[in-house]
This record gives sequence, C-alpha cells and structure tokens, in this order.
Amino acid sequence: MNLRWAACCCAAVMTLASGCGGPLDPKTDDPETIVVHSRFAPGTSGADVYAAAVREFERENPGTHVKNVYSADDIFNVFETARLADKEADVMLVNLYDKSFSWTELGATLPVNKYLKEWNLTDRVRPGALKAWTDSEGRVRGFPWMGFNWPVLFNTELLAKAGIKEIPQTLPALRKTVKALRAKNITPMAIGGNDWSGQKLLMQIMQGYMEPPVAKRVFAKAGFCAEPQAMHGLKLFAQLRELGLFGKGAQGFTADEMNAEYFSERAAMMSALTSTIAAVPKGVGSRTEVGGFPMPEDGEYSKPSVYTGATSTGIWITPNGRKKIGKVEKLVKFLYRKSSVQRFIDDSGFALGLREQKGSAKFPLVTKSNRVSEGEDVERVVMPDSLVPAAASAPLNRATSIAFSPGASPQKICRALDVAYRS
Amino acid sequence: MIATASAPAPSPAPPARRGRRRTGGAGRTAAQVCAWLYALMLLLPLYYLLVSSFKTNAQIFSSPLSPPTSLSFEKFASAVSDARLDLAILNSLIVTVSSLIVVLVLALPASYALARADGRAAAVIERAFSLGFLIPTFAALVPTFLLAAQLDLFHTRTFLILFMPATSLPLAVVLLTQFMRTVPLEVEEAARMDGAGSLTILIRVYLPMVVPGIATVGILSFLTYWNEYLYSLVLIGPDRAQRTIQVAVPTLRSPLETDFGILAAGTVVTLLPVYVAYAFLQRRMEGAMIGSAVKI
Repeated sequence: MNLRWAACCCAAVMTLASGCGGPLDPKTDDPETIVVHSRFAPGTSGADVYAAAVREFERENPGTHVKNVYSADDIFNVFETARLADKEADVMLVNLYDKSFSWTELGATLPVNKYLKEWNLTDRVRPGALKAWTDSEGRVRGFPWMGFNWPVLFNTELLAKAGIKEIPQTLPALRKTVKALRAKNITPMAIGGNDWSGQKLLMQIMQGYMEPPVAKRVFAKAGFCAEPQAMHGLKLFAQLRELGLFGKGAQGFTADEMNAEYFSERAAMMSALTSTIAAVPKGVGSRTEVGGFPMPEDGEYSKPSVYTGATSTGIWITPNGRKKIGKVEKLVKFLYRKSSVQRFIDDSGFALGLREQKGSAKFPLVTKSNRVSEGEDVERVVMPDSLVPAAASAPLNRATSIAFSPGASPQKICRALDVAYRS
Repeated sequence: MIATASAPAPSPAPPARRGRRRTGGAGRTAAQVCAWLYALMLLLPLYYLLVSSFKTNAQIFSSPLSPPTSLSFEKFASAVSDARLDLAILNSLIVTVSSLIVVLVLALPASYALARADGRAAAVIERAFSLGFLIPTFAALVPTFLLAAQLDLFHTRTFLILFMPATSLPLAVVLLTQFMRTVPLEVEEAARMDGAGSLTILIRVYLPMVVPGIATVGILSFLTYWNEYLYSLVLIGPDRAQRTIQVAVPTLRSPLETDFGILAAGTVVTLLPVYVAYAFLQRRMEGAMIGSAVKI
C-alpha cells in the first residue's frame, strides 16, 4: 500500500515538474535565435519552400538559429496578445490586412524606412509594392515581400460543352455564357458567398459603375446606399445573381467549397487568388484559361477587370526584433536575395513584389495569370482590403452572404454593407 | 369442482396479461427506437469525421457521408507530422494530468472539511464555492492574461496548470462534498477511537468510499482541461514546443486552402485520449450516477 502511494506521489511530482519545466523542444529562445511567427505551418501552401529556405539560411549563418512559430486565422490576435506581454516574435511574416493596418501606428511593429535604406534594399522593391506598404504618414509598415493577382479562371472544356468557344470578355457575352451553361446543368461560377472570396467578387462587380475615387471613399467610409454609383453596381450584381451566375447555396459557401467545385470541374469559372491558382490540379489547369471579369460597356472600365496587390505577406520587425537587429538584417537580406525570391516563385507559385524575377516553369497557370493580370487586356480595379476599416472586415463577410442570397434586392444589400461598417 | 374452479380461473387472465405485454412491448420498442436514434445522432458526427479522414476535399464536399474508397492512413500521418500532434498530445497530457492532480489535492481536503463541518461559516464557504459557477469563462480572460504577464508566466504551461484547477474547483468541491456526506459518521468515529488523525481518516476511510465521486470529478475535469481552447491559445501561445492539442489542430486549417481530410484526421487524433479516459473511468462514473439516483 505504502509502495503504491509512494509510486503515485512520485508520478504526480514528476508530471507537475515536467509541466512547470521548459518546452519539450530543445530549440528554446536565446540571443542567437530569431523567432519568426508566420502562417507557413507545415502542410500549408509554400511551407516546404519556406522550411528549405530557413535551413539554407541556418547553414549559411552558423550559430544563428531560426525558431518558427505558426498560427492560422488567429495570427493577428495571437501576435497582439504576445506583444502586450512583451513576448512577441522577433519577425512576423504576415499580410497587411485587418488589424495589421494599425500595428506600426500603435508601435507594435517598427517602421522599416530606415532599414530599407541602410540595408540597401529599396531598389529591390517594386514601386507599387512600396506604396502599398506605406501608410499616410510615410511609414513603411514592413518589408514588402509577397503579392498576389486575382483574375478569373475559365474551364474551357466545360465552356465548350455548353457551346461557348471563347471566354466571355463583355457583359452580354457573360450573360450568354451563363444561360448556355445553365442549359447544360453546369454551375457557371464557383464562389464562397460567405467569406472574403465572395466579398471581393461583390466589390469587383460593384465597381463596374464606380469611379476609382468614389470606390475608395465608399470602401473606406461606407455610405453604399447613399452613393448612386455603388447602387448601380449592386443592381448589376443582383441581376447577374438572378440570372444564375452562382451555384445553388453560394451564400453559405466558403473559399474551400469554391475551390472544390472548380477543382472537381463542377463549375466553369472561378475568381482565384494566386495561391489558389497554384493549387489547381494539373489536369484542370491544362483546360483552364485566364481572364478578367467582364465589366459593363456603359461603366467605368472598358476591359475585363482583375485585382492585383502587393500585400499578401510582408516581413515585419517587432520591438523584440530590434534587440536582435543584426540577425534580423541577415534574414531579411537572405529572403530578399534573387535566388531566394526565385525559389519561392519556382517551387511554390507565389507572386513576389520584388524586381528581377522570372515566371515559374513548374506553375505555368500562375505564370499565365501573372502575365494576364499585369497585361494590357485587363484593367485593375480598386482593391478594398487596404481601405476597409479593420473592424468592418469580419462583419462585411456576413453582409456578403446576404448579397449572395437569392432575391436580395440592391437596397437590402447596401443596407447590410452599411450596417457592417457600424458594427 | 376443483377442476371447474381451477379451469375457468386462468381463462380471463391471459387476455389481460397479453394486453399489458402488448402495451409494454410497444412502449419498450418506441423507447428503443428513440435510444437508437439518439445514439445515431451522436455517432453521425463521429462517422463523418472518421470517413472524411480518408477522403480528398472533392470527395468530402461531393458526398460527405459516403464510405471512403481507400483506407490509407496517409492523412493521419500528415496531420501528426504537420502540426506536431505528438508534441501537442504530450503537452496536453502534462497540462491535463497536472491540473487534475492540483484540483484533487485541493478539492478533497476542502470537501472533507465542508462535509463534516456543521457551522454557519462552513455553509457560507460552501455557497461561496457554488458562486464560482456564476463567473463566465470569457469575462476572466483579460485579468487572467494580465496576471500571467505580471507573474512572468505568460507563454508557459505552468500558468495554465495553476489556472485551470481554479476554474473547476467549485464543481469539484460541491460534488465531492455531497459524496462525502454519504459516508456514515460512525465510520469516522470508529477510526478516531482507533487513534486515526484527520488526514489518515481522509486518506484511509473517505477516499476509498468516495472513489465514484473522484472518478466523476476526474472525468468531468479531464474533459474540461483537454478540450480547453481559448485560454490555452492566449496563455500558452503558438510555440509548437508548448502548445496543447486544441491549439495545434486548428493550424491544419489554412485561410486560403485547407485539406479537410487532414483536418478531420487531426480531430480524430484529439478525440482518442478522451475515449481512452472515458473507457477507464466509465464504470466508476456510471456507478456514481446510479448510486445517486437510487438514493434519490
């Protein structure tokens, strides 16, 4: 009995001791370690390339260790909480979106203007990318790194089944395509009507009748119902929805369902971000054509539209990173190096906002989408992400779901959008 | 006469018995159907999780409930290696078991004292423990975070091990106090006459008699600690070396593109320890519940 009690007590003490002890991973923080917080968790898009790059960096810099911590959707909250406790990572690899817009202004991350100059990296960055990462006070929030293009993918085989030989470039052609696809029982366009993917498409179609300055003002401050151009755009969106452009239940779908529909060739079109394009199965990719979303002839854009941006992922330096700035400099310079950039382009299909890069041979569809998106055959509409206030981002997704619900009038949609900004 | 008297006597009885049996049988069948339906409702999400672990995204979305076409364990291996679920399970076990030890070490003596005290102060203290149920978990998040930061225990498992027992202590004390009240006072008096002190009585007399109560508290606390997400995410953070399984599994989800098969496999892995714990403690817990029902 006593022996049993002694064994129980020993086990309890050992468990408690291990609980209060250090981490199980021997790679603990130390002055020689740069802690990097990112979304490149193993298994996610580009994670293998990132891990290989980190290994190479460590080989080149003996004694310097990179400790990676990963988060998913909650990365902004996790960083902010850690920052409050002064325990944030040294470097953040995250997009400029939602809460991160205010980080530099609040002192949660350092402006990198000084480092760009001192480390001679300014010339590596494309001017558009630098502008996208600069706030109204002239502070560069982070080192621009990855960007994106957001064209529309067309499955030419499904279009051919419906008797459509060319991808639609005008609104009448799009209407004809939708009707033909519907007649063959094919979903014309896959979309996640309940998340960011649907929100972007809604705002893209809406811009058909919106001048860029008006779009910027409305996206930043709302007032959709009071703005005739926005209402005109919403009317167009509602017409296309009622025509049957989207699949049944689109208002409840997310980007994952959207991808699954297009990847399994159940839908003929999809508005797709670069990282999604990189994930298109090879067989489907060979039957895919890239273009823009057709815009109204009496509207603001004379060509099909796409989104482009340079805010996918940036390299942010935190106050803790300043304490190890010498090592952070080495890491940033390594990630900005031509060979590193080209490796990300070649092996992960990412689009990077840096100069002197070649298209990826392994991801021909991404290369094609980059060429189309940056070419003369499409026009680039205003990207809402850098304008929409952080507090309205999540509520806007809920408003988007209303927009994709069958029967929702332009008035109902505009009210939902305006309410989202007041949430 | 005997024959006449005895012969007609059983004749009216059978119809009545048959009638009763028919009513009881129908009721029992209905109850069984309801029980099976309820069991199916509980099993359906588990079945969905399990079959999804063997499917691609396209298969999951196009035919969510159909059986998988192959039984490759590739997605389980990917889930474990991508999110380091092995480390995460170990971390969760350390946090859960340590918290269980702390809560039992604190709750057992407290419950014993409350069960045997009959003064007003004891009643007030017991009610004070019950008030613990009224504090919403979310409301304590910010002060708890500040406390962890002040104590320099932020991003450590230690703080969670100290904090989680505090959240479940009210339930543990209230439950164990009721169990200890069922122990006859005479048993304790007999032990005292034999020279036993309070600690000896608690360990040698009370503990063996309230094992079902300890099992109940154990399994309820285990489930609470194991499944805890919000505080683990905020207080321990994203470090793979320290994070618990509930924080690790969501990293299998990407905002842009998720392999739901791997995510489902990861979720199945998180459920396994819960089933193992329940299987170990199930009989004790059921015994405790049946015992309580009989007393009522």
